[in-house]
Amino acid sequence: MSTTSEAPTFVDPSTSLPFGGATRLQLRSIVPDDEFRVVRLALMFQFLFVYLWWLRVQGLPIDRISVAISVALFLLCAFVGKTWRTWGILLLDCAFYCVMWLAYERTRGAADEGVTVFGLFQIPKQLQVESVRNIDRVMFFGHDPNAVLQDAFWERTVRWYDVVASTTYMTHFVLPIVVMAVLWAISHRQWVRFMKRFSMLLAVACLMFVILPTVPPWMATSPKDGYQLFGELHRDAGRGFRHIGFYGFDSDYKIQLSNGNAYAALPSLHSSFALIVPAFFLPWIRPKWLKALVLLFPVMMLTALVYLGEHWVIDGLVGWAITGGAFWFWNRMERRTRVRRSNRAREALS
Amino acid sequence: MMDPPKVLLEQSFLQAIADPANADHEAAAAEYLDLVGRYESEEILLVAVHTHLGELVGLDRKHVFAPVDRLWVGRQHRRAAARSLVADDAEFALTLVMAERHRVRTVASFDPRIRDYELTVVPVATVD
Repeated sequence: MSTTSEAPTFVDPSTSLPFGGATRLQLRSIVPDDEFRVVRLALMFQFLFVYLWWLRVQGLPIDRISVAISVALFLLCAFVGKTWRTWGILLLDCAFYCVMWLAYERTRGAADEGVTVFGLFQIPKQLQVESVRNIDRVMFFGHDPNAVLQDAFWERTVRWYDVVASTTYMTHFVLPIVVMAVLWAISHRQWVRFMKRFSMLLAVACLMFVILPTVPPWMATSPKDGYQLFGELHRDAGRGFRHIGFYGFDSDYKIQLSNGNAYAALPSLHSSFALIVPAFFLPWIRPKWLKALVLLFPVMMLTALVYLGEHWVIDGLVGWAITGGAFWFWNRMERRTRVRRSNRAREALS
Repeated sequence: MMDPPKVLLEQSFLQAIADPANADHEAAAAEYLDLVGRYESEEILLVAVHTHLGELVGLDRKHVFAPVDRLWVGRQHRRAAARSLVADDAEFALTLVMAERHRVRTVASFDPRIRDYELTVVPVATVD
């Protein structure tokens, strides 16, 4: 047999029958099935069923422990019967995942109290209160967007847009985690790509929480907190969600809030997470109208955050900018890695 | 599903690239350079069975196979290879198992047996 050294061409197997056109064998007819594949699929569907049942009966798991348990259970279902090496990599991934969230929680705490850097000097807690409000007022020609939206739309009774705003707000607690878990199960390479961008976003956000602790709009108008920059804002981000029957959510949310840093307004992680997920999947979405539609989600999120009094507009814009920066940085780094490896191959062959 | 299509560099192809004295070295190198170009523009991923690659180069990425990802072989893959219908050649069977389990549809190979399967094979062979 001889081979060509011309520019190679990919041959469609359906049109290229070798050696006189004999029928070619499918690999599946030669290689035994992975018997655990069916088990994994069945377990993942069972998990989905139990998760939805839990969501309806107990509420949305949003505190870190519950989320970690639900992710761990999903991964157990998704990795049954995989090789020991795959399990080892999964454990390393999980360790990285836990360290990332622990670092995030610690930094949130540090932002609450000020930070001592290596025992040498102290970064005091300098709360941003009026600066962020003033930026918003400049962008909106002297108006406070939070106040304008609540004055126009907030009513005693829950309206349809409260349900939309509240549900959009709540997706923050599950959407990126669901994406991570699914990517973990279907493509480790894509999981790594997502986590690079996600952890960079989280790291920059935590740094900003420490350097620029910022009072959110609900607090800046609350007489209890002593600011009252303008008329008090209503604060009940969960009311639309409760309105559609997810009662179990509320108590978990209070536990979450009690552990959180109330001054972590800038940047808005709600806005960042709402952008990172559609932005990550954008290359796989073909129709332009669908791309535009998924990019409406972060806009919806920011609108909801402003309406619910949770964030200033500038918080969301900075969150988007950091997300864009993380994508720019890692796209560039990954391209450089591919070029470097390709050049090594070319040099070795030359 | 989300990754670019994988091209599996089969043992005979790896050996042809690694050994300049191999009769197929020129053809392999030309094909490989084209594949590397496609890898660089993220059209494809290059993969090889880790044991086949390990025989030729180390685990680092500082050699001619720097762009190639390893498909790590576990005991379950060897068991599946032993139970396959081509079990008489363990390494060839292992290649088929790894191709099937990792949804590989294109294989770079000089082994004529690979053309008996529903795979896109490169380089394109001309039958004398």
